[in-house]
Amino acid sequence: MAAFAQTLRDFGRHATNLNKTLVDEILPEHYRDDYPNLITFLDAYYEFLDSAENFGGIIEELQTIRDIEDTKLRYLDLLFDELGLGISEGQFITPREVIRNFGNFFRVKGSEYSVHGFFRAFFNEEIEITYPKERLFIVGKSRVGTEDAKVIQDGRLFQVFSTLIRGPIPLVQWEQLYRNFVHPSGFYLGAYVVLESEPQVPITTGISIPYINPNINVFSSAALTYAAEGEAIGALGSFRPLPEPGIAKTISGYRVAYYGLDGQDSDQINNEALLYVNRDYVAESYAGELERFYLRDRYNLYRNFDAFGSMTIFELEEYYSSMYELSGFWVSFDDKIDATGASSNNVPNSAVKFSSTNDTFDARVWYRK
Amino acid sequence: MSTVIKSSELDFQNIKESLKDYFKSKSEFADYDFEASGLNNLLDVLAYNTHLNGLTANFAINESFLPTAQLRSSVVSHAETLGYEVRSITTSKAVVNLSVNMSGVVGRRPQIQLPVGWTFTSSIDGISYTFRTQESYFAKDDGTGTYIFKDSKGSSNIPIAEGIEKTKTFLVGEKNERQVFVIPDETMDIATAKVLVYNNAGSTGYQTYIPLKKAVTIDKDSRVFSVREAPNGHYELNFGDGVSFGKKPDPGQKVVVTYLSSKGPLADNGTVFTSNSDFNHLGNDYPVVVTTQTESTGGANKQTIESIKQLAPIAYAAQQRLVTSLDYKGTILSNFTDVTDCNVWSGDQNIPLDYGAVYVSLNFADGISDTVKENTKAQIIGQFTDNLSVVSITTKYTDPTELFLELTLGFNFDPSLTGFSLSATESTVYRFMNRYFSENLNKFEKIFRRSNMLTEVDAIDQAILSSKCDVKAQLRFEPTIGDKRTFELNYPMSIAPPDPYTYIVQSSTFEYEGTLALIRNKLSSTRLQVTDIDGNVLLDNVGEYFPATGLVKIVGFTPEAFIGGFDYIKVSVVPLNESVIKPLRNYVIKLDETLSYATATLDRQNTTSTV
Repeated sequence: MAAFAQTLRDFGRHATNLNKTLVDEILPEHYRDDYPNLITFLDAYYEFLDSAENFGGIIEELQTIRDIEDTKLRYLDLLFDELGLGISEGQFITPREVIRNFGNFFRVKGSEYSVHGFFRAFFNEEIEITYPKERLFIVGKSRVGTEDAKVIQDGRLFQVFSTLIRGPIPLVQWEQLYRNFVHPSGFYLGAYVVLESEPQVPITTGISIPYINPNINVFSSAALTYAAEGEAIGALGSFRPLPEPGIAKTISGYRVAYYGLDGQDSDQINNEALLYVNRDYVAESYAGELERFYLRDRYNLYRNFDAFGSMTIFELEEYYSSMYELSGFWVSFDDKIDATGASSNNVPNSAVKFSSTNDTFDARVWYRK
Repeated sequence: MSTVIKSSELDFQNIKESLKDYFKSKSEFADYDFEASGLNNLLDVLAYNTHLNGLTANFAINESFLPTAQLRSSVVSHAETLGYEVRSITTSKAVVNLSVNMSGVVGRRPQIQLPVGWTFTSSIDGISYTFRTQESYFAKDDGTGTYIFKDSKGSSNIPIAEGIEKTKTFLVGEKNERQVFVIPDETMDIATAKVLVYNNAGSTGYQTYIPLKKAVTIDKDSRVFSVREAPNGHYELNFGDGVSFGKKPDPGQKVVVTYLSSKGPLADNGTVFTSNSDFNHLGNDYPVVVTTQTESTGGANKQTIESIKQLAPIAYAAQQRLVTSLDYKGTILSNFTDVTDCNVWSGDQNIPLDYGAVYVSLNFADGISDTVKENTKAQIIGQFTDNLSVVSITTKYTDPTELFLELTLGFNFDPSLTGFSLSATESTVYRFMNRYFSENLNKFEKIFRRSNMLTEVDAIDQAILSSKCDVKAQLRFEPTIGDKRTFELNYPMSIAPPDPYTYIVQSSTFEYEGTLALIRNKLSSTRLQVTDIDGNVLLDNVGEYFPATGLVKIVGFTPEAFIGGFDYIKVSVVPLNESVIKPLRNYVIKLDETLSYATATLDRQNTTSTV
């Protein structure tokens, strides 16, 4: 059944061909004896007519001409005109895959999911999305000092309605496409082009230098366990936290937190952050805002908040892969162990907050199990 | 976007040659002489047959896709697969106040009712059109005997729609048949359709069915209907399948559909409406007083094929949401027939920057009053952007800005190559310029490319040997006599830097200090001066222009009088790049016909004369 769902053509069998020459049957019987060359001639003509680029071949194409899996690329372009706002199939490495997903893509446009999908489909590149509003200095809430790296609202990139995309492609190459397919009108669109190089710096030291996975969106701190230098924290499955006094924990079952990590979208950052929360390393020395993690990826406008309020982080994580967050809004969750202790799956009960501003997170006024 | 697919060779000679080559490639016919008359005739017949079949195949393939389909039925069908509802003919609507005066009538009732379908007549261009109410309205005695009819929300603004009310009745057939009820009327406004289903042919009890798109949830018992355009241009009334997609009328039931048959845009611009009958109360007739609030507008013919091709894919991409600017544009153009053109941009592209806002600029059909325009804007927000846009994003409107181009087109003309005179050809080229702008510009996002236009000029007549064109861009401002004000004119392109020989900025004339004057930049400077027409400076500094940003700022200026019967002053600038003028955001490029010229230079292609 799956094969039929993909294409109208049955690849497992011979091509359906209902053509049959009737020249021999239609012409009077004595023609066979008297004019055999004429019959051969007309047979050859109908053979010509049924060839690939001729009438017969084209009529046969009609059966599958709108079949995304089977139609020729030149016809696929016409389907792109219908379904993909006129973009050419040549824009994509896997056009058939892309066109099949356009409906889903349009339904989630504006979300982080769609932003990542856009760059993957159109440019085969991974990008990073950040919200400059997270770095805004807020009077009475932010601390003054370079260590906090807060910036004053500038009326352009650094304001609430702003999205910053970091990737290897210059803005001029993708801006118009992005605005047509993804960009929530009304938001500021900023872009940094990342120039990548890996210089070798010959530094030796007597002690181990902690390696911090840059993909982990963690603000600090002493509560985190670092892998040793050279140990591949990003290589999933090989990671082992170093035992340290006060935070050494059993690591059995930590893979559970990775179950949704497919490397195909932006899950990775937050799943890794989730790992720490799930392992309750952070909770061990919870010190307030610094140990906050952002689950920014997906957020459904139609989500019933009350339902969220009854979920643990673990449950939230399970739900996570089916949520869609609108770009510019985020979900954050408190990692502090609640007074009620751990739930049945040995995961701390947690709180969830929805916010479109970068204000201070106070879990207790929001949803807490 | 492709508009035609050529899948097979359609040139007769090529087909015949291909056929010949094919036969020659076969060993059985390798030694045949295909030029011989008998075989050649046979090949002709077969080639013609192939040609006809090729045409058929091309037609079939072209009709398979929305962008290439030529038949309306195919285009409508493809649009439906994208979930797009093709617009039928649309009734023109007006808004009126209705009242009845029964002062002094003894025993008058405290409340009276104006029944649904109350008709009015309006004469437009000498032709009478019938308008009618589409629901009933009530009016209360104000104590003096005056009754003002109001809707259920208390508003006295009563909409009336043009059209003749028609009714079609069907009896539902056998259960197993696919129930399609054809309404043989191309003038049906499907938005006015009302469907009642009676239990049997003689029954008076009925059930009301609602349009599918107004249904909140749908199950097997939902009473919903849809109307779609049939391949022959008539309409089909469809119901659910009775299983999961709405209730299916039972055999023997009677279906009654009522709708307005409309004249579409012909009934627009009606301003005077007269009630076709008086209001009868207690056996006496009292005139219904009609006061027009807004003229009749919004009438439209069936959506054109080109419009469907343009808007159906955008509607599919929008998915009933308003996220990107394109979503806004498609939704507005699909739903508001008064709006002929529309452009939408994000607040981060606006000048000044305005985050959290989406800017919309609308072009309305000619003759639309300001009241109707404001109503339409309010409806766009109330019906669509408030409901479908990203939360916290607001919609703001800005009027279109007309950017006029002044073209000085010159061409070399060799009279020996044509039967037309030099002056006749100049007129032809001038008319072409006007036509070029009306067909290719005059809309949002339409870019002027000089070389494209000149290419077409060169092709007008073989006597036109070459052509060139100087371009100036012009904005207009309306100063107030005696009131010194500052004006900022934002051109959507960079302006040429100051020049020692040419004035880059120059205005039309006005009266200043008792003399004919104009504003222009000082040579080699961005400073603006008021000078008389001989170049004597009357005011040394009246502002400045900024070449890079395209801003012309006129400070503290007032003329003493306007010249030429206008109440505005034109300010023309030389663009930095005359080859391309892009109308950003709400700009619309038009031709200033009074300041555009086509001039020929005689060129007999003589290469022997000295200069």
